[in-house]
Amino acid sequence: MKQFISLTKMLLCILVGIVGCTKTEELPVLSQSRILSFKVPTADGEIIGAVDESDKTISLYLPFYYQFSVIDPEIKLSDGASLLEESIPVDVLADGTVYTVVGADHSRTSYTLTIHLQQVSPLVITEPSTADQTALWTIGDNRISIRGNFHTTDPTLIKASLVDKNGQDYPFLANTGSGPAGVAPAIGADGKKIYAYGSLQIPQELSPGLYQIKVSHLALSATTTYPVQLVWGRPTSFVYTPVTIKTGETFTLESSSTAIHDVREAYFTIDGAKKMLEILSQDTKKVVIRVPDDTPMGTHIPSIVCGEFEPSSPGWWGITITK
Amino acid sequence: MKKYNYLTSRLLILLMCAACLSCSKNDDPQPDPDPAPDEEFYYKLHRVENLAMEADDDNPTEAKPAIYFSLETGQEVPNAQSKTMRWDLSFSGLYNSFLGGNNGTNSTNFGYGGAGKGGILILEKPFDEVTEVPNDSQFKSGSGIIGTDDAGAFGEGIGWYLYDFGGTILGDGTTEKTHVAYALGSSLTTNDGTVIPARTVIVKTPRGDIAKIKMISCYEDAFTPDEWFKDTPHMFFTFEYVVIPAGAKHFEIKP
Repeated sequence: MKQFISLTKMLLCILVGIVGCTKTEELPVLSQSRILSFKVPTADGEIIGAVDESDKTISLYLPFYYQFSVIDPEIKLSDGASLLEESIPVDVLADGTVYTVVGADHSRTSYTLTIHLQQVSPLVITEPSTADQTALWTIGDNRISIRGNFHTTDPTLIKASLVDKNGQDYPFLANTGSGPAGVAPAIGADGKKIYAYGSLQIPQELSPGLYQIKVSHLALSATTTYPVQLVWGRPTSFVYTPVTIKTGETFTLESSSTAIHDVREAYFTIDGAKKMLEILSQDTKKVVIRVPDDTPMGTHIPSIVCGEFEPSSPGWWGITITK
Repeated sequence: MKKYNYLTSRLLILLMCAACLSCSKNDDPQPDPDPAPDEEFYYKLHRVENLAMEADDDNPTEAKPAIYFSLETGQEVPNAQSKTMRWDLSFSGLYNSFLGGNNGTNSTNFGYGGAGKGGILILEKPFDEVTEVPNDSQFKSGSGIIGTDDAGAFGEGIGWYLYDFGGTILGDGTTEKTHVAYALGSSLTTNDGTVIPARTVIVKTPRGDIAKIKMISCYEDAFTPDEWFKDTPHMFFTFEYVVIPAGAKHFEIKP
């Protein structure tokens, strides 16, 4: 017991010695050009980046559900320090953004940012075609919808394109005559959430043939195993441009969806009979038509015939012919 | 043994006290305060003329991408920065004519997910007569909230402009006066004698500052109704605004 008490007394002495020690040990001087904190504000708080002083890096783990395409960090620096260049929003796919801090003592320290996107992997898209059946898509169609596990409702974060046999990429148009593309979530037959990226348009300039579909969402991308086949179709939707012209002048019919091709005839239907018009030029978007001098006055609805398809017409608006 | 326990507990108390006394410095860095706007920013009348939006009369029902605007810088903000707090006011929908604030909690807002806590509302009151900040609960947090007024065609509630589809509500019935959008920054009297009071848009910025905005025109270099016609170049927004800091309750313009 005596031994134990002695031991306790000795420990107490050591403790008093430690607490009572007044000697100041000089620690290495801290850099005055440090990043003290790196935070990204969000709707529900903030995401904190890990600043590593040993290798001068900043690691930021960014969950997919924030749907950020850029981050706009709030950076806390040492007293009196400033950034060499103004902090601007950083693309989440950008790698190696460098922040150089200039301290009050004019020292400089550079930190490299790495953004780790936390996405649900892999990206899987629903195949329109199978090994046995190739889907036929009409060139210019603006009602294309691509389904996949995108885990976002922000259409600006998704990129989709058609890829031809040479590997050439042709992006779908995401802002068409039927409005901007959108993403609609739904529960699939298997009970899993699936997202339809819709209102996309196949570029009217493309040629018929086989194309793979390639989709990317931030850092993930996927390509279909089986291609779709692009084919010509019958234009059914025209840009609203009623005009008033004189005989001998021209007007233009422009398709807002299905590509125009091989226009063989253009005519007005007047009193149940065809009044043939002169086709001056055509491309996949529009056809320029001249009205013959002997065309009766009045408002006539134009029609065109593309290839072997039935006639196409705006249907309810026409071209007004005056003297 | 009892003595042992007694001494051990005393020793522990001493150690804890020593630890507490020797660790008094607070090393937890505090975040930077929000950068304060220039003193010339608050309580000043700002004017933006001819803020251009993409317009396509051949596809009038095709909405163009939204435009984001910073009241502080007086500049447009890139679309990719929609989820940041760098913008205060969005222009979206048909002809980019519907206004909204920047709010990260509303899934219909372009800033959804970001840290913005903004909103928007509209008052049937002239700009100069709006002196009090409306109650916080009155702000709406969605995008594309304030647009066409019910006094015109395709109205969606109280709006900042009246759309005269046929040119007969405010126009003289001529073709040139059809499809004119009349900004309601000042009161207007319709052809049937109805007086439509001026409107003032109130915006809460993502950081909580409050702005009152007078929408003046959406036509290029044309700021009064007599200069607005179907073919006057559009959409070029002209508006004036005053911003007061978060927490302030009264609008005023200081010299």
